[in-house]
Amino acid sequence: MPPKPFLLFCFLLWGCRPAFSQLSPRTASYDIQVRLDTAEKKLYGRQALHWANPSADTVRELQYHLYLNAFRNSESTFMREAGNFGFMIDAMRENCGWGWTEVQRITDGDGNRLAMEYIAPDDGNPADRTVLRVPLARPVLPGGTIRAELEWTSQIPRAAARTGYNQDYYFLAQWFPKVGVYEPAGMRFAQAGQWNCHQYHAEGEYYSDFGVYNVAITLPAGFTVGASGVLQGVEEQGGEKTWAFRAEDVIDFTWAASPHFKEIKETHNGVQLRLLAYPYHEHLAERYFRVIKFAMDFCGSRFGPYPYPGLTIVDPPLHGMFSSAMEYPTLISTANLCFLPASVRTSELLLAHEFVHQYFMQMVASNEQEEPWLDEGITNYYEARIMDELFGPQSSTVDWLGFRMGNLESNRGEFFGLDNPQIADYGRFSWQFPEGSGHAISYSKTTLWLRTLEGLLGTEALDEVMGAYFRRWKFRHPCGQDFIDVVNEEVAKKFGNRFGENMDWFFGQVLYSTELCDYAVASIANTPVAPPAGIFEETEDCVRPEGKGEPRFRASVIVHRLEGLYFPVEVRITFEDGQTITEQWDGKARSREFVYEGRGRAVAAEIDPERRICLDKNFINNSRAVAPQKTGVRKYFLQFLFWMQNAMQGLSMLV
Amino acid sequence: MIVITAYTQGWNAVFRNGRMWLALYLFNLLLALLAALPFSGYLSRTIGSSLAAEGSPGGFDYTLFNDWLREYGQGLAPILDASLGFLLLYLLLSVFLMGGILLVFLQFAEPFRWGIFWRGCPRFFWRLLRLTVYFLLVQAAVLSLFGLLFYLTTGGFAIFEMETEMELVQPLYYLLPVYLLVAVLVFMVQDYAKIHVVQEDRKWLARPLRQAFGLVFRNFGSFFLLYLLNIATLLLLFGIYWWGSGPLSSAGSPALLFLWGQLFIFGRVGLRLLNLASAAYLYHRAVQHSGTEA
Repeated sequence: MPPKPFLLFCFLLWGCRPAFSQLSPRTASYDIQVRLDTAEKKLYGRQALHWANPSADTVRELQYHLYLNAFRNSESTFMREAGNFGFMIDAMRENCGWGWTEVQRITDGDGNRLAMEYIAPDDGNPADRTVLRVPLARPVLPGGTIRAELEWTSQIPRAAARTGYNQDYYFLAQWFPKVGVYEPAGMRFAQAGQWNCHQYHAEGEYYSDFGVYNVAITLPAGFTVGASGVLQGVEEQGGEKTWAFRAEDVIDFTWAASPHFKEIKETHNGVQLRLLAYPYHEHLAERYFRVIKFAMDFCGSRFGPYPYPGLTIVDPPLHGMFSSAMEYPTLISTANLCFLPASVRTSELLLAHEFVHQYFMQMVASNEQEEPWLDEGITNYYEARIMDELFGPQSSTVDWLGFRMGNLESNRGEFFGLDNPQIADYGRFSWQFPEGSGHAISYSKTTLWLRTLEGLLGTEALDEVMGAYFRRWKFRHPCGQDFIDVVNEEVAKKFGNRFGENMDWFFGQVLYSTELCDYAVASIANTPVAPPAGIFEETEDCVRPEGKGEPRFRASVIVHRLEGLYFPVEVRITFEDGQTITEQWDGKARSREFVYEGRGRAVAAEIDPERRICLDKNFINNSRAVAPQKTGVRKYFLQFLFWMQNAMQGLSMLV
Repeated sequence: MIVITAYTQGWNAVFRNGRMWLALYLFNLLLALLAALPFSGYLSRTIGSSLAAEGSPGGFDYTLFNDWLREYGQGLAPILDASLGFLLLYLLLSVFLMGGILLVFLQFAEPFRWGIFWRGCPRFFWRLLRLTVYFLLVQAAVLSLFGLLFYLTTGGFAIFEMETEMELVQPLYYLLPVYLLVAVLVFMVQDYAKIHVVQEDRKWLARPLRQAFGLVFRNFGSFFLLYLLNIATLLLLFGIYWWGSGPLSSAGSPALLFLWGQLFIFGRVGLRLLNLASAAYLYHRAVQHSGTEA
């Protein structure tokens, strides 16, 4: 399909614009022309990849992701792992809505037709066709470039996970043959130069090089298209429209189309926000824009301004829910059911999350398949911060009919709610987490230990550390150790050796062990102390206890570390006169006793009273009082009583 | 208008028999207390020496709830099992008391006498229990039928086939009112059947059931309006409770909130009585008017 003159004009015009600083290395750039056949549900594509060898190696092959082949049949690696997508996959099976990509032809810049073969580097699954190996006729020399042209056809899967079509709604993610990442020796975990091009798995998606995408999408004229990047122009011809987009310094390109989209635009900080929603969701625009603007300001003040000219938000219809809650460069999707009350803030939560991904995933382009915590965990942590700051820490997610739940709280709930929170450490790829524990560990546990780190360092200091990590690794590919290195450097700069030589003790525990954390006040004892009596100086002088003065007490508070993890914690002891002492405890010993004489009786003790150690699995045993605490018991007892009375009265209406 | 008269006469009867109202409320409170006391003991053992619940905010504390459920939730199971037992017991008690309540209300202008009340309780227990079981089965069948209709109208919850989520909601726009109408109709027949059983002291239920059906269908307008009025009063009570409980909850005073809740429960018991008393009045008038043996 030859490029249309209009689009050529657009691209040329773009080339003549004032120079816009290049943000990323632009290793893999694409020119793509694609036509959507809405009758056949097919894509006909033609693309040119401009790939620059970032290494000192001579590269003799390319490796492409053919993601849509994950939906080719039930035996692909994705489908074998896809338990979490149950009902979507069921629907695809029932409707025979399988999808695939076939590359008809691939040539290099010299016009050589290149051979192709499917490989399965992760599991050797012969039925998996999601990675295509292309030996080159002419190797790419160190620092050299190659232009590879492909012609391909894809059958769009019906309502598959994250991508596909349903009715006349199309969400095209992971839709074109995308080259893997060539990692030179020393980059991340690479011992020698290698392609990092995993098969498509049910868990974990992103790892790509930065580049510029010029994409022209042709489809029936009635459709509205939302896509990564900036719309360059729309040309109509013969009942079809071609939408031209350009996205710079991004790692992927995604688009959505529907004839029912309503477009609502706003601008914030010079960024054009474009919401594409179905008509019955238009009224939600204010809620969506509110949280996006807040998140943009929040991230902007910590990491730097959002550097792209636009952000597109897709609000899928119910039958397009397979594409909800996803993040792509400059395009995110949310989810909402319009009969839900506004105080059930799942949409806001998703939007905050997906927006933060623009920083951690899109700009700091870590490998989600190999280290999912590095983008999902950090993103989830900042999602919680944004939500709790915007809507209040104990009601940010739900505040409805008396039921309240904050975002951070929900993360504690998810992680500790696992049957076995110690089921896996982080040392595994995203698809290797057992029993569906990946989400709770990668997202929620990471949020909890980042909150714990925040508790130790302070919010401002942690934000500065994260800002430093972002600035150092934006538009690059860090691994977990790179993150740890930044934390170590920044903490040393700010705190000297207050937390030890470095923070490896922290990461060793939270990342590389499966231990849990639980501190408890074991006992409070107040023993009367008899005044001194006996022979002290002269043997003739016997000191006798003086009469009945003010009794003295030896107050003893014993605290325990019940689980494996340790963190420095505060222990606050309250005495009968209302005075408090806050002790600093390194938290290492299994047991520690604090003893006070002459201060009166200790009446209560509390470990970590500010709840800085969010990884502590049980806050209830963190404190103990000598006298029974009745207020809370009474409150919950009375609530239970009231519920029982109502239940009984409700039941009596059946008589 | 007969409906308004029945409504006001119902209130008169409820207030005239205020001691019964209070007794029913106390039965409710007592049984709920018996069910809840083990919970109180368990709470004391698990969080009674911790400060965690002391500083928890006025409303629901998810973190506390979550930690408590996870760490100590296993001990909750026997308490909940026992609570279910108490609920069943209360259902039986309600059946037992119903005979007395109706016998009292069917005395109309008579002053309240405990003798009448206690005489009616055991006398009609087994008949009213059978009646309750029959109507529970009918209500379950009605609910299942409408559940099935909802399932069918949404294409078996086939969300991928739906244009919008409103397709999930829209069937409710017409199914729910129809369901409520049918359910209310069944409740009405049940109430008038109960009244008939007590009034006529029939041993077998077939005739009271037939008579109640006939009565309801002959006087559907007035009977239904009365039901709507009673339901509206109940909704008003819920509204008032909801309006007041928010600020009281925020104020963080469990005692005040509890008192407010007790007023609400007391009101609910009263409205249950109002429903029966007004229905008894209407039944009486309808029978008088038709001049037939009820």
